[in-house]
Amino acid sequence: MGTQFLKARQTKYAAYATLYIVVIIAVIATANVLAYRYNKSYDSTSNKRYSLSDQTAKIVKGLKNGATITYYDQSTHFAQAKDQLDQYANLSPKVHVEYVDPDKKPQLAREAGIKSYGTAIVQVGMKKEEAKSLNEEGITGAFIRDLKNTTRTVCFVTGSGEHQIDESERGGYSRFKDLLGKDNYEAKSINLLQKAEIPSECTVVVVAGPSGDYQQPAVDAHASSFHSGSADLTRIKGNAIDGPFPTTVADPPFSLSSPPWR
Amino acid sequence: MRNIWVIFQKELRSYFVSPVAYLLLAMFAIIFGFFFWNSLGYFVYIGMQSQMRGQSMPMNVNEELIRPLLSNISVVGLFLIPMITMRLFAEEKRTGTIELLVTSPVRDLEVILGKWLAAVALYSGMLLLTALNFAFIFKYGHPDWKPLVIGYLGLLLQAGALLAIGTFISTLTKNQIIAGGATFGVCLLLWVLEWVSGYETSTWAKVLSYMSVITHFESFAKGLLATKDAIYYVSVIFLGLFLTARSMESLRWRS
Repeated sequence: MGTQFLKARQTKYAAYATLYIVVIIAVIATANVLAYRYNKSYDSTSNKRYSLSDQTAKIVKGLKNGATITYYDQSTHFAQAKDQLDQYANLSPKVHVEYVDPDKKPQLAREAGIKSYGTAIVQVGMKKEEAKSLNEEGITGAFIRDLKNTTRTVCFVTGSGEHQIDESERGGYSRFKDLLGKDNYEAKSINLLQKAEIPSECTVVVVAGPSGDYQQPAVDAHASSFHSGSADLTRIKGNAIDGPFPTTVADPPFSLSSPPWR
Repeated sequence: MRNIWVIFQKELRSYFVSPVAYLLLAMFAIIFGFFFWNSLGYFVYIGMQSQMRGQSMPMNVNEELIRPLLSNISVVGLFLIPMITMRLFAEEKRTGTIELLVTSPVRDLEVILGKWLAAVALYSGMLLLTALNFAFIFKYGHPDWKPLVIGYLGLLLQAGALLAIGTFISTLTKNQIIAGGATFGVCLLLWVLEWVSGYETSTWAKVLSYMSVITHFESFAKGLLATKDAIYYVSVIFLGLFLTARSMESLRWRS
């Protein structure tokens, strides 16, 4: 009887202790989850080496959707990127940082179109942008490009023997189109012979090495578009161009010194 | 509070009446001295090479010397902490004095805190030895002192967490070797949990990585005081001491 009582007492205490421990572990886990999500940090370095600029903080804290920065590199190099990327995660619980080793997870790297180690992809919502570099300028730049809602369209004029964006052979601009796509520009062809009008969605109009003169309606369409400020013009000269640049649009007063995607 | 102080003094004294404290301090000083000499030599070598190449970029003493050294201290601590905690309660159990402790008019919490603080004090003494080495850097260089202070805070918090775990394990056995070995095993496991994040990115890997003590030391070593890291260490300290209290309590109802 006495032994049974002792056992019952021990059982009761053991159950009480177990419950107590489980509750405390749950409280500690919750505290840590909250601390992880709402982390605040103090950078004690004199040059604020581990702090991001106010502008970056404003952009990241103002995110309405979740964002993921995925860094692709060999796992031995993750530590180098962590110093920079984890600062973004610390700014907002909406930012998550993931590290992928393309050697260990080639499928993920292939799907993301990763061609070199040390690449960081910033995804906000469904939009993805590759960071130009692993410093603040590169990463925040990718955030900004992701957040821009407007689609920027580069229109390539066709109809007068220009280089074609769908041609992959010599003189074709398919590779150029791919590069523009990587920078989030949409490239499309417009034929001014069919319709002498620059579409309103064109952010930039590219006259890529025409081999013949333009008809007057096409020239008027260019002039109208440029003067109204609806699109910028850039022209591509160089080795790829076989013939002379037509005099009609050779020296527009509104040419750009450098393409806007640089 | 007074009882905690009395137990703290008694426990600290017991470290120094045996060769344990002297051995630990000497070993720590020698091992860290080697790390310091090696790292400083490499730093100077890289600096000279950089000058010979005509690179005028100044080297960052905090980043390239102090930060790796702080990480080295924490690694050395991993090996020595089990030696500090293994005797805390195991010795009392072996000699039978645990009965006196449990039945004396002193609360369990006071006993636990007194012993744990004594262990932290001994570890702090070991850290003080490393300050001597860093004093040389301040004499001949111009490092930033604030990140070093944050780094030391991180070392104390990390050691506090591991010492709390060791204190708990020490209550589970009367054999010091078993207590020390188990503490080392658990601490090592908490150390290497971070490795999983090297190849796995799913949620469970992130949770395991978060549970690693080394993950949370990174920011302290950089001079960054992050609330999540401080809260993690405080949580582990609390959990370790809480489990110790439950283990002490169980001595009564199991008997």
